[in-house]
Amino acid sequence: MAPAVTLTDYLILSGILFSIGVFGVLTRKNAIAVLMGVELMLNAANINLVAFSKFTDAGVVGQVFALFSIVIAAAEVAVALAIVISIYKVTRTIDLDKEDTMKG
Amino acid sequence: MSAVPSTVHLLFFYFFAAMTIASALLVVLLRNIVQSAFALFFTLFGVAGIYILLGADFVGVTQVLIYIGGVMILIVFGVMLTHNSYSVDIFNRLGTLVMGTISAIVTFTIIYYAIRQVPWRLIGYKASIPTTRPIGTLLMTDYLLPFELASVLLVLAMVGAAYLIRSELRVGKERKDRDKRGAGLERKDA
Repeated sequence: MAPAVTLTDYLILSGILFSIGVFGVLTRKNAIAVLMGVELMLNAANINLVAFSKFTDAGVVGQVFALFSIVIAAAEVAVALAIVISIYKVTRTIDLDKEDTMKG
Repeated sequence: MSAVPSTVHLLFFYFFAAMTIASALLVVLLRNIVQSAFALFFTLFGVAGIYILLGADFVGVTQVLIYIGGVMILIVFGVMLTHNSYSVDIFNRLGTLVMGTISAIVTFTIIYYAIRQVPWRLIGYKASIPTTRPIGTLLMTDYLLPFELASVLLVLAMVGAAYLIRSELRVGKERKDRDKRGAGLERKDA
């Protein structure tokens, strides 16, 4: 009998995804690419919530939290892209290294 | 033990996990931002597959609808509306790249040891049941307030996003009028 997929496997998958997201957020210059890294991290957190709902006695509550997280991520992306596009209209760039207007 | 033989389950898990991680690496490593966006599409799809494997059918479908149907469209539009800055160097200097790699590895090490150390209160195998009805019941009873707050948040985000874009257009028009009168705002860049 092949070994079944355990909670640890899902948590490690989520950890790898989160670390890739951290790498993306820290190394990208393009503001929208940074947003994509944030999306990866949010998805990693959601995998954790759903995995706990399957393997522990939390029950379906974990999935409800994952749903709320997805809703908040949608709102976050809408506002973040609006800000990015507004900045682009003023400065004509979304290079994060050049967005230093508010530097003291 | 389960209805699905666990070998098949394992194969599907590795398939979706490999798809998620490989495309996530492409998202952060590809130089062209449009290609990154399409790699993110496959990452989100892989995560939806993981949800389905975990018996979370409703969350999986919501992931496809909201992330792949909504968020991805928004991101692709964002990429296209800021078009003249894609495909140029989107990476920082080498030092930042090294620091990013170190941070990612340290983050993963901490998470890995936390996973190994914590004594999880596992329960035995739970048969997957359709989750839509219990989720709906919970949303209308125990989680009614967060549910309504989520609606308010979505309206706020929608109005806020529309306002941000619209107000910038109006400022642009006023600036053009002012330029016409010969008292234009100084713009350092451009």
